[in-house]
Amino acid sequence: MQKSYIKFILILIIASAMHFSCKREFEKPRWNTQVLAPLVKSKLTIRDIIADSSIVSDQNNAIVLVNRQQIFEYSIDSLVALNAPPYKKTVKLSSLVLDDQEITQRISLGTIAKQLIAQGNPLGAQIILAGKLGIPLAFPGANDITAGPINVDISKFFVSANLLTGQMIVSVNNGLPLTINNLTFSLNNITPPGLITTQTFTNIVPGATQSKTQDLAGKSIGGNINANIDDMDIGSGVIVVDTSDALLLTLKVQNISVTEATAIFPAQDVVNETTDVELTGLDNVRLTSTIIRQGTVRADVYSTADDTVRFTYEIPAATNENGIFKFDAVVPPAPVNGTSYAQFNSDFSGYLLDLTGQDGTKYNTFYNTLVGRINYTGKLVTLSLNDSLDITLTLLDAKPSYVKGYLGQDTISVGPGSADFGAFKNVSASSLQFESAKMDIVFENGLGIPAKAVVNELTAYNSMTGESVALSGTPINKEYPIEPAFESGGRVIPVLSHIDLSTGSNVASLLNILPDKITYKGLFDSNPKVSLPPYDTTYNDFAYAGTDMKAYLDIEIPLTLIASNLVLTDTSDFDINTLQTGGFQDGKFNLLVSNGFPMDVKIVMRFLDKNGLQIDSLITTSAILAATIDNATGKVIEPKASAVPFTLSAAQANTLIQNGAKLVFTARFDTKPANQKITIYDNYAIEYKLVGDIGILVNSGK
Amino acid sequence: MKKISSLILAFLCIGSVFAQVEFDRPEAFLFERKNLLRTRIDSLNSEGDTVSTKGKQFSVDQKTDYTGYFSVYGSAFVNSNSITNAFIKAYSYTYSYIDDNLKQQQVDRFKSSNRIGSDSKAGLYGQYKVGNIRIEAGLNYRNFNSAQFSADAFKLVFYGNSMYAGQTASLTPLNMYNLNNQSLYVGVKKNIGKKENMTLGARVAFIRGGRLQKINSKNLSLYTASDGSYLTLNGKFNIAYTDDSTYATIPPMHGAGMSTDLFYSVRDDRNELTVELLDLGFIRWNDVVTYSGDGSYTYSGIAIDNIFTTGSLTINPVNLSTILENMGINKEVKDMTYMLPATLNIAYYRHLNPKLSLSGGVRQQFVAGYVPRVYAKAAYYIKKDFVIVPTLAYGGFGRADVELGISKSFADHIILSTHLQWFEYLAAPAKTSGQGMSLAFSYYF
Repeated sequence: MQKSYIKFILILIIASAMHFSCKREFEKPRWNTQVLAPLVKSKLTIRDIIADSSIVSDQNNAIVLVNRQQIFEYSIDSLVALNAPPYKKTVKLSSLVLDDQEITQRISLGTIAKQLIAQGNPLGAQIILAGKLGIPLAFPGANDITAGPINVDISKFFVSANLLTGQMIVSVNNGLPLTINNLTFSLNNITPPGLITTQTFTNIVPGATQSKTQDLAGKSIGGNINANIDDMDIGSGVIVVDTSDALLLTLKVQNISVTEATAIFPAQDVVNETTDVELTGLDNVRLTSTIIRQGTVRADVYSTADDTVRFTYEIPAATNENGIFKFDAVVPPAPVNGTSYAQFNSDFSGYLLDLTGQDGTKYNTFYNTLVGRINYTGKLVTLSLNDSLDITLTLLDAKPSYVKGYLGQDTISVGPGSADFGAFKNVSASSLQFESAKMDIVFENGLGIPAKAVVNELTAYNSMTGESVALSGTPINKEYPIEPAFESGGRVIPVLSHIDLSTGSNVASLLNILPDKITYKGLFDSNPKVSLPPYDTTYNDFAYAGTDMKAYLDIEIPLTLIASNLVLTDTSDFDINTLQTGGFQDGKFNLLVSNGFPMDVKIVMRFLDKNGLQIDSLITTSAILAATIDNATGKVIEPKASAVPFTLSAAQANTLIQNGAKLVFTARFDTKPANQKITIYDNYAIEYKLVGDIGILVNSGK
Repeated sequence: MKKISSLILAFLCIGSVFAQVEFDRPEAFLFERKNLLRTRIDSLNSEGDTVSTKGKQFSVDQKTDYTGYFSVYGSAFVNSNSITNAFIKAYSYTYSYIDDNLKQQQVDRFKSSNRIGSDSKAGLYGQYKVGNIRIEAGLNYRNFNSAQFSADAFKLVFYGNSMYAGQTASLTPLNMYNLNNQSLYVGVKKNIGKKENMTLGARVAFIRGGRLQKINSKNLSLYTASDGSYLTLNGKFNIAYTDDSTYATIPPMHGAGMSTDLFYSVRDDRNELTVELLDLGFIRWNDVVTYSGDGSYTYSGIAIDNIFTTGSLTINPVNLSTILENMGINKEVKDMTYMLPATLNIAYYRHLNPKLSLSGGVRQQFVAGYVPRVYAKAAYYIKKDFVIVPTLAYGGFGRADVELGISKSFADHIILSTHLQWFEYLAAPAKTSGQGMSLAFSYYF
């Protein structure tokens, strides 16, 4: 009995356990459901449809397409190039001067007495004895007394000098107690030997001084000279002999300029030149001033001078808040029989350069000053008027930030050029009539130059359809003035000038073909009224860097139009992940559209694979109806709701998921009512929503 | 065969003791609540205690005195007042395709408020006597699921909302509480009173939270526009769940908590009254994804950029999260504390004669949808070490249930028991609800 119970229980347990171990059909339980839900929604406004343009609203909120393209530019760098020829100057030392020098040589009575003794003249011994005794001596007088040579050392002032100019003043002061009836003395150069001067003085009473001047021009003097008394006659008298009494011989050299000297030179300017420099390559441009935006002045200097030459280069015509343009440079001394070289660069930017020359009557011209100077060093150096500075001054890469003057006359061909017009990208139409359109060329002139412009050609192209329409009418080949800009307080005030291409022309028909490109051709003349000489003498033209003359092609199209079969096409990437997950089986879809545009719409969606081949399509069989407009105001009063049904099987979905790569979306619009222009307002939109009634296999494993 | 043995092994080896409903186990009738009555004795030969009733007298065996006790237990039960066993099998066991017939089978049985619940447990339990108290400890694994739903809610899930075009689907009531946790507990039990006929017990459990899924709602409904252009959700609701990328039997830890169990019983030789309060506690969940709402929320499609500006048309998967967020119901991730689904058991036992003991009780689980479950058991002792316990019950997540408990002891130390709820499923799976079983191996010394 018990065993029967146990067997029964075991059977129950096993049967129960087997229930748990039933074979599973899937990873998870599955079932089908039908889900009705909105999937995605979006909204399309005119701002989404029209690309590459600005859309603005007028005061009534109506849409106006605005497009601006720059078609021309004229800048200061187009007008003027600041090219100055290199300023080359070889400057010889224009002068070399030496300081005035004075040397005093004392010839005592004792010295004279010794000279007499040496000559065998007994008077010498008498003078000596009388001097010792200190007793009065009746001096009978003496004639033909000679003395020398007496060395005079002036080597501390110069070793040698070839004088260009100069004077020697020889002064004799009679310190002897007797009248010198006659004195003839000479000065001789030792190296090279040669007479410098010989002078005769007569009747020099005791205590008196007589001077004679000798011109030294053309003479060469060494550092040592000999003074000789060639003949001296002394008068008679009773004297108390003092052998220390003396003749005082004073030699003074003055106003010395040399052609060459080895000397201690005083500080002096050796070069000082002012010259004009004229800018080149300006054709008929006549500048009176310019502000340098960038530029460098470079000096290349070669020197043969044995001494350091300091030179200063100035452009007095170039000024900034710190003063005139100036730079100082030091040229090292040249080696013996050689040449030294140095290069100097100085930033020239920021300077206002007066280009009227030294006298203020010129143009394109500035003057500069070169001053070369040697300093006093206290050292002996050798300089010659044959020594020179070879200077080349170059204005490098100069560009103006401002120019003023007469900026010349220039005639420039504009184009042929083209401007892309993307407002109607992806748009075409069988028939399109804009109520109006406006096309201008606007010159924004930031240059102080009057000009004129002529439009020779302007053509609109639609590269998709091949259509083109050329502008015709009044604006073609007509001269339009372009007013110059103003300047005030260092600021430029640009002036706008308009070329109205709309009035008296067929501009609306250009835009009706929905162009994607506009070509143009024309002429631009600067300073057109002032052509050949005598040119404009007011020199009031100006230009600033960074403020140019630009020309823009402006197009304004109010979106008031009649359209028939206006087609909007776009191709986009395509990805519908949502159908790949979630066990999509099949589905009925509705594209719910709320059309806020007063245009019927038909939609075609073509699905392409990666090779561009169509794999499926969705076509609305009936139009999505236009919104209702109020005839009085022309505005939409109520959007129109429509539903576009389509179905998608699992196979189709799978094809789209696996192979779908691109979606070509095409919408065709027809304005309603037909033949009545409608205005597009900023708040118009198409709202669409994709609703799916989808069969889903839950836990499909996908 | 491999699957059967592994399944049995799983039940025997996983987890912690189901001793939390210890008096509900068949082995209790061979252990703590063993019928100790013996046949009427000759009054001249009586030894020990005796009891008499209605003129009959029985002797009472000595109660088994044991020092220690060890048990391994596993159970899984599912019940519903409407969902059939056939559906449960297809959905939970065989993962079958649920066809329209099977769906309609459920719809035909729906009430205004429908409920379904399942509770799977496994564990280890041990008890040891120290002095005059018994110390117990154990490990527990639990996977609890409960749901209260309307007919429309079932139809929305299994049929879809297309049938509700232009109509409102009532989602009231809609509540769900799914919980997966593991716990480690300790407790004490002591006999008290002059006659030591009362027992008090208490446990404290430390809980590791694995997975949480919770929905509460009030007056919830879903309207589907007739053209499908929008869906409107009305009402008050809270959705909370721990976010796991994959489903795991033992999920990563997402929270921690504590609970307590309280036990009281009073008895004499023939009668016993027990009261038990289980899982009184909470779990503090970390990084819980929540959606809350109180009002009206409309979903009208996911807005996308138009192809003219982006150059592409991409429709990404539309799922519950994207729909809720599109409705303006924003996701929040935050820490949340939720109470556990506590259980109150009250039971009465009476040993009628040496062969038969009766038991009756009521069980209430404090979770939405659960109705008080009343039951009656008759423990028939085929032998003193072999008892079968047929049970009739009504309520809980289901309706009427027929169950059978079987327990056999071996060598005075081992008890094997099982509790079966297969009869309705075996008899008429398409017309009945409720199934499950438990297995236990116990050893005492």
